[in-house]
Amino acid sequence: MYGAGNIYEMAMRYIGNVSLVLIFLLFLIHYYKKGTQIETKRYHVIFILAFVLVLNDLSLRVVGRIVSYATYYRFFWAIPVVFLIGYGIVNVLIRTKEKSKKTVIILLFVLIFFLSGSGLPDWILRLQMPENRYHIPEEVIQVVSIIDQERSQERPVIVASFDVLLHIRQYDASFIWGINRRSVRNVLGGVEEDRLESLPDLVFHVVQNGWWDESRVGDLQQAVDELEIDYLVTLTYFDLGDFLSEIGFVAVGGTNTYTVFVRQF
Amino acid sequence: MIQLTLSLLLVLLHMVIFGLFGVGVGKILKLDIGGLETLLLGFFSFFAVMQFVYLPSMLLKVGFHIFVLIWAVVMLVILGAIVICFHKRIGEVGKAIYHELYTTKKSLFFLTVLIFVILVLFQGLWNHHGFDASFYIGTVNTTLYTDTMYLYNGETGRIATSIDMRYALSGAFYMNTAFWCRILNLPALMVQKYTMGTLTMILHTLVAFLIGRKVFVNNVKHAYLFTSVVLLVNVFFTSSIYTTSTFLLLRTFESKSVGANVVIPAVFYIALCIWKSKEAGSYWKLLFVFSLASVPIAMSMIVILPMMVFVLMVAEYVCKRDKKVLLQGGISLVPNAVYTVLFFLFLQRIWLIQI
Repeated sequence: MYGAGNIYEMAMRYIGNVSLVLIFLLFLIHYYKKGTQIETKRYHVIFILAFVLVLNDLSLRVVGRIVSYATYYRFFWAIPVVFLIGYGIVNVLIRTKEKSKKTVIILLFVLIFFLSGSGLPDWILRLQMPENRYHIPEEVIQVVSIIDQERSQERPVIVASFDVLLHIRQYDASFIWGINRRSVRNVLGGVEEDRLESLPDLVFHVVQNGWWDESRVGDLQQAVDELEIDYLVTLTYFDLGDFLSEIGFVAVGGTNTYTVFVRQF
Repeated sequence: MIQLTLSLLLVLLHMVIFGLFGVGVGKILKLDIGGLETLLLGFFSFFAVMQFVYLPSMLLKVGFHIFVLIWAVVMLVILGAIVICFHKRIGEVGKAIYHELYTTKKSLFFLTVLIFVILVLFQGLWNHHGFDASFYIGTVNTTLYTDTMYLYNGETGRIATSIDMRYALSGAFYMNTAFWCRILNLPALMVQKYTMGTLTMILHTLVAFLIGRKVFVNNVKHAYLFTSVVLLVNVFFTSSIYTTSTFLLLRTFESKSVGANVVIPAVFYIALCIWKSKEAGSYWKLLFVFSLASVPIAMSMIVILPMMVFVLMVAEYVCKRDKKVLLQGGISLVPNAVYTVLFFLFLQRIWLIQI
């Protein structure tokens, strides 16, 4: 979790919306109060150890150096939020004898859950029926097919629009990314041209955003030479044919959305 | 269609193998556990055993096809021995599983199955994966393409300068995918997404059911209700991209999702069993096996799991004042301690395997 400087920030980001965690805390307090002597003792030890060992900024700094600060939030996975909420709800339903009261309780929980900030409504809208058995964009397979028809390298180096780049090696591992994740993140994060960190960033900025600048042709040429790029795949909409020809790339085919350019030596 | 069918049949094959492993390890460790617990034990035992073949193969940089051969032979010998020596127990476990799942309240059973199937379909249809999925599936695919294990960067496909132990130490989970892809000539994309995604969902549901049976004192009806509610609560505990439920639904086939939604809940289940049992010897042994398999399944467990075990151990000692608990818990800390030391040496660049 990048940017969370302390445990409190980390917890808030982990939780997102607080409503389900409030239900969790309510059930936790309820069962703590109802617990037997030995159970209460157990809760005390667990709480103290959890805070002493994990849920404090010192542990974040020390243990974070081993496991990485960005993944320290995973300690929160040890808190059985879902199971305690499930247990609480089932107990409430078991103890409620009248059907009408049970219905009201269920509706109340449903309402709370729908206010919990779940990503579900958005996810359902984003679900897609598979275009193929791999459930990756069909155009990625088409791009590979175009390249296969004319390639001479066993392991071609490719830089492509993000969607193609992300899926191409999952489908065909003979390809090599011409850039790395950092460059992709830099460009997708919206860095301005004069603040692009490196030549790989520049190449990806051209391919991903259709950006071109005659004054940077030399840099781009240097980038494709150093990175030994064989193929560029970019949106056809950008119409980069003329620009890319200045650095030795020609179009060899395309799909509905993408054009594949190969380097001419 | 054949590949898709095989990918889904592979789920069943995994469950059978897990069941057999569970029977074998259960008998060897003389565990007094139920049928479903045997199945869960089998999942962990499988990876616990596999790491002893995988790690030397990876560290010695042997060809992947050699690892496949060795692991296939080892697995067949183990499974054969289990079937021959413990065939009676296999039948007992099968019957036990049936009895543990049986309920007269069929509506609750079908409700649970329905919710489970919907979630399996959801995770199978979800295809907005990110860099990590690309990395892991790329790793499996690269293994198959280059016949090497962790000598190439899984994301970029470029050869690495040294083996990245952050991923290689816990590579058993993904090499299992690669193994079956090689054996059955299946694409990595399908096996990782469909087979392993479905398995994760099955195992999470299994652990939820076991927890339900434990907290509701073997009332199967309430256990089904609990499982249904837990699966539904998972759908809503997704208000950030970091929660266990978000990983369960959107990143099901990644090893860290298995860690978050199977390994950690399984340890929580063991904790419940220890708390509620007078004689917990079998559960401490189970905990050891879970610990032994935790890092081969997910690197995230390298520190999280021993933290949980340590807290459980100290809490039990304080409550029961039984020093045996410290020994039993301490033994369970050993596997992750070894991995932590190795990983630390790698991070400090003291232990590097150059390529």
